[in-house]
Amino acid sequence: MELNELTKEIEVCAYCPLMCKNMCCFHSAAKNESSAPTMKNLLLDWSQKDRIELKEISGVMYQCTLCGQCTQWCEEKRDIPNNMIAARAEIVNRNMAPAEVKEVEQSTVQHHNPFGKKQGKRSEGVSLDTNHEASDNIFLFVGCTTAYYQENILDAFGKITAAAGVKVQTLQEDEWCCGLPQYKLGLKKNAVELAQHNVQALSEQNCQTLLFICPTCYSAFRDFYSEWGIEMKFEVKFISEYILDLIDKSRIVLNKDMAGTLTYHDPCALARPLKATKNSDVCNEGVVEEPRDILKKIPGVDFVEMRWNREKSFCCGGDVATRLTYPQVSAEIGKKAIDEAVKVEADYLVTSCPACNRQFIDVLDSSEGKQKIEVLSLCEIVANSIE
Amino acid sequence: MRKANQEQVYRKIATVVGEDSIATSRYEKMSYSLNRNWYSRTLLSIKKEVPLADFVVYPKSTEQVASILKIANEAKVPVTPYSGGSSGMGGNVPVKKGIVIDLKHLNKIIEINEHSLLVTVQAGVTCWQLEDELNRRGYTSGHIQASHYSACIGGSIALRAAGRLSTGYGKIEDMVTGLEVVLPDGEVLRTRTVPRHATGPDLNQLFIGSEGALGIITEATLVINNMPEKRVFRAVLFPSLHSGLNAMRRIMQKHLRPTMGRLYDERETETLFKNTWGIDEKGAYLVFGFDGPSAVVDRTMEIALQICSEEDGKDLGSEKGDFWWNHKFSDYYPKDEKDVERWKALMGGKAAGATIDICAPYHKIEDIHNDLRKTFKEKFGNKYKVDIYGHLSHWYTSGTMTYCRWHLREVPQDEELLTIYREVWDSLIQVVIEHGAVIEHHHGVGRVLGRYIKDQYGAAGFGVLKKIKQAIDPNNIMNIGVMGLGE
Repeated sequence: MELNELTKEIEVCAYCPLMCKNMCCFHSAAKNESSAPTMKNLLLDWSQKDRIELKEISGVMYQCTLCGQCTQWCEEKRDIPNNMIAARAEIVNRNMAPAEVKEVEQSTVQHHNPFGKKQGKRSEGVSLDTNHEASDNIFLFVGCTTAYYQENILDAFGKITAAAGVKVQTLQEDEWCCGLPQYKLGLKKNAVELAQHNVQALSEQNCQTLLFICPTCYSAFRDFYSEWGIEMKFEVKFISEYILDLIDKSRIVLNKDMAGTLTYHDPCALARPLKATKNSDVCNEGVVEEPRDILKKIPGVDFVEMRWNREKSFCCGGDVATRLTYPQVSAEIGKKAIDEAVKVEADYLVTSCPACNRQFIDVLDSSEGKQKIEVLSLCEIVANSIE
Repeated sequence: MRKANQEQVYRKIATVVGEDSIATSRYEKMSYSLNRNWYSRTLLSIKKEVPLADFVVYPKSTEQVASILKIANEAKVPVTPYSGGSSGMGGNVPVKKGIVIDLKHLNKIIEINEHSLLVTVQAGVTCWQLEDELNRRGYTSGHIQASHYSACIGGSIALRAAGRLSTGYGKIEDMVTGLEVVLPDGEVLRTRTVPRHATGPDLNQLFIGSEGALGIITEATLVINNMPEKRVFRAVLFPSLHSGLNAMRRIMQKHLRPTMGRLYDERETETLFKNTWGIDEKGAYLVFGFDGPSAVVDRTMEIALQICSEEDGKDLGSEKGDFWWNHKFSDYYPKDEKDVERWKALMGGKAAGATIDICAPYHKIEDIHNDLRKTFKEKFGNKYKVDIYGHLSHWYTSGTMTYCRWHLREVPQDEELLTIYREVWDSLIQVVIEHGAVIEHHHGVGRVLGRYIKDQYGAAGFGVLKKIKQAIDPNNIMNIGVMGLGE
């Protein structure tokens, strides 16, 4: 939605007395008043009323991971992330965006990913495409974080498919970023171009089912593409559903003892995915039980829940925007999320998002979890528990 | 602050906390001035300048707070302490510019002593954060403020706050057993954590409610409680405020120790019933509750209901009581466009309104409540659209508190609005002073009511307060103007 269509929504939050303040992961880590959800909306409200320049507060609008925790705690379920995204789009339109956002835009145009990495074949060097039998046209959407920072997750998935004897293809160099990170930064034009390319490439390959390792990519395809006017004829499925199916059909057997206490971190994009638009009728329910169902089948582990889980899980702070624009705050948010796992005395902190995984690994040694916790992706712990 | 002095102070403080722990941007400073205070938001809405600090500092330890205060004291720079920013009394608005010290980075829960049931926390721990941590271990602070999600422990202590369950668990001053306070010259004072003492005046109580005028509270030790085995709430409808008040007084004086009691006057009852349940019920509506071992709770509730019945109260059951507890924060969420307009009008200068919470003994409280309503309507009802209603809550053996909400609509949207506020406060506070009550129960006095403190304490009492201020803060840097001190 355009910023000027959200005046009422912004006002509601601007005049609410700080009820979600303490739950905002950015504010809890940064602790400056302008980052509180109410204050961001109040400043935005006043900028719309020409009492303060939008340019002056452009940085404030990026003091948000868009994790949606505020919406969960708001009794009226106000969609504050949507307000922030609209503000960012306006900031980009008026050429006021922070330098980091412009870099993402440039990288997207040049390399089709937000990280400035050369495109290349995204699943090159992993064992994904070997040892399989013919099956339906199942594709895996690798995602930028997995491709450039978390190849081990891809290796693990390769081990799972090899054990199951199934063929899963990828688009290799034809896979571009899903577009959601760009959309969240206010770069909707870039986001739509990426989406159009991906859907066209997958359709040309006659993709029947598209699997996702990354919840952000999954949410982009499932919740946003149709809102952006892009039609898909293939089924989208998150990896947990696929793996659970393999286990239930005994295509893979989890038989190696992983002895230890395990907890699961719900990624924001999976547990409380953003709404594509205010009036969206797109189904955007979270995926929270399937990963747990898998983890409870791992031999030898004692599964414990963190205090705040599922829709109220803490954010890891590892989204593209926050890592780039406020790296210190991003790291603080990550440490607080790890603290939650330390509090339940977990040996393994498992998540089903490569961005969360990357974030936790990056901040682990400066957190309370140092030398106490091993961070693993869902794919890795499943692969490790196959003899 | 003069520019040369400001730069010098900035540089010195930067050597203590680092430049990345100081904010100077206009929008950040505005965020500190606009928080929940109607006064600064009204200024903004009528296009007047909002007072802004010269800069905001984020210390990360008591030692850093001490160093900052030492620098400010030597340079005679005004200091405004700040934590959760949920106060509506203007005590944390930097009207004298200078430095805002935001304590939110002091947010560690240092120790939970499960043997003595004590918790030691830093000032920037939010009430929610503390309660959440205690709940994980089977304890409760018993301190659940309306601003639970944003208020910090330091601010609660500095303003003598009360939680929703204060009747059972006490106000914050009943919970504090030890304090760490940084004095204006940078010296750090620590009191000993003991349940009671007879070693002179209580230094804890000197700083509890001092609103940042005497120093900065950086750490506190508080009593905690086991989570109750059973928690119950009940709703009762009385024919009048008078009969409900009698019932609650008798319950308190029989030492049944309810956790809370909220008795709405006839006007608020009517609004509440209509808005919440869509029914036309008249009378005075009471919600109250008990915590404790199951058998004790069941029996005390039985006795309390008997007392209610003797005062002609109609038992409405536990469902409506539980509803109150489960929706205790709901009033604060703007729900629809009408609600938004109400909040906007109030915070945006198109209406005037606030709350007044007055504490008095039982033999005065009903007259005060009625006189507040009568005075307000008589004085302002012929000029504006007005409404005033309220409830009695926070109960003691000898008295209680009345919490009246007043609203004026169709007010001028210019500087006259500030005059209207002043006139309303003058009228309402005069009623309170004439009845011999105190002008605040749990929000602190701040700058909104500071000018009335002298009237409440009298010349001798206020003189003592001034001498204390002068002795502890001779350079008058600490939160100038709160409680009418230091102006």
